[in-house]
Amino acid sequence: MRASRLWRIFAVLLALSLVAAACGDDDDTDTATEDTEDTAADGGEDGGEDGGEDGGAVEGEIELAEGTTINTEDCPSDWDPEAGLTDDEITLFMSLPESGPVAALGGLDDGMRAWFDQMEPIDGRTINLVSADDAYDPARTLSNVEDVLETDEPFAMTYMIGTPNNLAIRDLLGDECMPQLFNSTGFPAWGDPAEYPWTIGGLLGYNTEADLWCTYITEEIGEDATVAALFMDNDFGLAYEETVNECDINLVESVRHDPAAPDVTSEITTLASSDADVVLLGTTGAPCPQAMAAIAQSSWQPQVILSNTCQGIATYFKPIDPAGEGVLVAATAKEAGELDDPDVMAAREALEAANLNPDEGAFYTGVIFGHTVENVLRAAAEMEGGLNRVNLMKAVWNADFTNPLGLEGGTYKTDGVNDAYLVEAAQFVRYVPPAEGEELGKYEAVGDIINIEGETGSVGG
Amino acid sequence: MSEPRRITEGTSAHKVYRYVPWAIFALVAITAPFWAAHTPAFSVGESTLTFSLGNLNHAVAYMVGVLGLGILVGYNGQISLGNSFFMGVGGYITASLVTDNGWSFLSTLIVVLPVCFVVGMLVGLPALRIKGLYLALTTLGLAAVFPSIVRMEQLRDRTGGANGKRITSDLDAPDWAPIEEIGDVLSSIPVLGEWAYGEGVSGREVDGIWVYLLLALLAGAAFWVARNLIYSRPGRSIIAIRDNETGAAVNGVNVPMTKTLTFGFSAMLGGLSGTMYAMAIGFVAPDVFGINLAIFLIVGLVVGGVGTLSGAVIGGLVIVFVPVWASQIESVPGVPERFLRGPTGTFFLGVLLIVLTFFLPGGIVYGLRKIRARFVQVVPPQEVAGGEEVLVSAGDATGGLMSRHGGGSALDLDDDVVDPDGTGDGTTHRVVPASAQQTNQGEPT
Repeated sequence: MRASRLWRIFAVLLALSLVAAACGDDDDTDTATEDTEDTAADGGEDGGEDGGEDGGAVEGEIELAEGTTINTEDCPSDWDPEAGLTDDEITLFMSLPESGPVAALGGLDDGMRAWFDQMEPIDGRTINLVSADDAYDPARTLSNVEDVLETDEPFAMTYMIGTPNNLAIRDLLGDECMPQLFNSTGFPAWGDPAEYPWTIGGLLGYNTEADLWCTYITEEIGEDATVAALFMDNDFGLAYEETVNECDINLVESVRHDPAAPDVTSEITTLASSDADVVLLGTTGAPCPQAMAAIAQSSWQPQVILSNTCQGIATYFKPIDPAGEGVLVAATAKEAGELDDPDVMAAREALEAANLNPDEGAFYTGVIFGHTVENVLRAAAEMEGGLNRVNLMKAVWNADFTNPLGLEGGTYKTDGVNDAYLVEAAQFVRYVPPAEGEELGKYEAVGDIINIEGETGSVGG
Repeated sequence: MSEPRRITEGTSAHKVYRYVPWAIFALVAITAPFWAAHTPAFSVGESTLTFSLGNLNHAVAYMVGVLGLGILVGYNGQISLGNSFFMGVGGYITASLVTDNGWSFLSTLIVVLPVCFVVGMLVGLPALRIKGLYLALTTLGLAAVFPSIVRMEQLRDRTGGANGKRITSDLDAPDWAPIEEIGDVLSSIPVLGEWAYGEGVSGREVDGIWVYLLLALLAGAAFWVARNLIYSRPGRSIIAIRDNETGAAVNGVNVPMTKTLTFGFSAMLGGLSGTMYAMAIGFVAPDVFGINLAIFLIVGLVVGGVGTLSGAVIGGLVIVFVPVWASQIESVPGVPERFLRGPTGTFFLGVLLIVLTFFLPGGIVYGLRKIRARFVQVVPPQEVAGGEEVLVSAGDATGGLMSRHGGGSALDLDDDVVDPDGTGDGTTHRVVPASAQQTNQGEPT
């Protein structure tokens, strides 16, 4: 009797799911309608193109940049392009890991705040950066964002960390017409303004960086050079891996390591057995110095090429000096240790004023990010209509500025679908350990700055 | 201390005692999302803590995961850390079928439940040979390997690889669902309504509440099935194996079959929880279902109450809200601010685990029952006759027994009966499992 009761329960459950399947049709219809709407919007785009320069409009269909169109009628009915702004404050929001496996990046918001606190106000407004911890868990990123949309709607979201985390919120922010600026991940698909005009990436694409590695290997080291590679087994490392597998180099050994593993010694042993000429370290955080130290201790002497996420000298090289000697990094910004550079010094002063150690990578990177945000906000504030979300996105998709902490000669440019990537300049630098009596090592430039600005287009074409 | 009030079973007072708490619980469960939609944040000192619909939905999904683990660990005594694996399987199957094949969320359960059941049974097979810590370690391996499986190149089209998978179907509230109306009714409650529910609900809130109601329905079904299972004859076999495996075998319980089926059932609930996660969050990523979640589930189970069903409700809420609130606490008098940054959430959960193990070994549910026993106790009618009443008076209500006495009570599942001496230890009222089975309704097992 009991058994039959259980079966009855299953039967009810199955029936419920069938009902649900029927309900599913509703969803399909919804999607169909949305599609039609989208098509209609697309159709209207061509007509609206002339009106692209419609100075200051924040309603209806607006062309932000080439192939990049928003329609504020798709925004929520209570959408306010100036939400998150007061007369003297701009509220920005970021969700980032302050706990969990990549908690080391949790200082970015402090670095950004340090810069915002001492920069000149934008149109009389200071920046209030609100941050929340998500422990690198996309579910918590999403709930953080939902919370802040309900309670205290910010003007824009900035520099959130993690590809899964940003993917989890992209649709929601698009629906809310909320700028999702400069995702702090090099995932190539962020450059898709035709489909996602409210979202843009903020780092050199991992694919672009890996492409630069390949070019360097074939041009500077030799076409037959054997290559071994270590990749972190997550969204970040696998983006490198994908590009490296596709490019035209002689890859003889490739190993993935668990992001949560305590060290990478055994992976390095495997790679060392290949005795390759070059090793690519597509990883970040603690595995960077661990891998460099393990290679230096072995009898294997390859040319090491390191991910630029481990560029910080004080964080990643100092603990293992001189094991990092000769390591190459495709740098995208000036290093915190360049003490003769006035902009670097200004950044260091800002951090020191906020009681933050300027040599700690995440804080300094926060200042670099802070400059980018400041630049687009200033550009938007100067447009007709002043600071609002539409102008902000115009500034983002038509960016043309230099980041003071970016590479000398590098530019931050975008142009809608023609150029959807902000950071596209890099330069190989070689690590030189500190001489006798010096505290920190330094980088010396190798070759010229490589600027592929404008060559990469966008995901959509 | 004054004498607790005695309620005789079968009287109308007993009915009130029995059903009113359920009614209150149902009322709270139904109105909670409306409250969360309007009052998503509240202030404690200088910190703002959020109680949002998103977190609430997340917690409901985890409740079922904790429940599945509770059946296996709390009732069957097989310590497993692998339930996050099945949550992942459920979540990913749902994500893929909904996004790639256009299925509706609930219809994916037709695939998720059997798949998880079968995989769970397969995983349960080695558990016949290994026990205790060894089993825990083996299943921990399962939890650890899940993220690597979904990142595999071969599955990438389906799983989205390391980047996770966005589910491109929104669960929109259908027109017939009177959610806005309920919101209006709640806001029109004098005094309280305006404060707690504001102007009613709209837009995205309505969809969020719809998802909540679906999740609550699924969770309710899961708890109902689990409760009936535990109260049934197979349920008694499951518990007998936990209490004394040899004794159970001697009494005719098919130990290997029961253990394997329990594993399967637990995995099935895990899969359901994964599907519910996908519905609640709309996104699945490899590291969501890793070791962290496996350990969180155990924490939820222990904090809620091992060997209780209702503990899973508390467990789900705790593992979602403690980390969220811990990260939102910005200042505590006397504590330097830098101590409040970083992994405070996991730290609190760890502390909870240790503190509860020492002071409230049966979890929060046990503590609540102990408090209740101080005020009210249920006594059987005077004319005791037949095995059933004897069993009820002997069966101990507290879920704390298992950990306090090592073996535990055979029947720590009856919510309505409190041990008469009110201490919760049930020393004088315990029945040994084998005899419990014999007395039960006179059916030999």
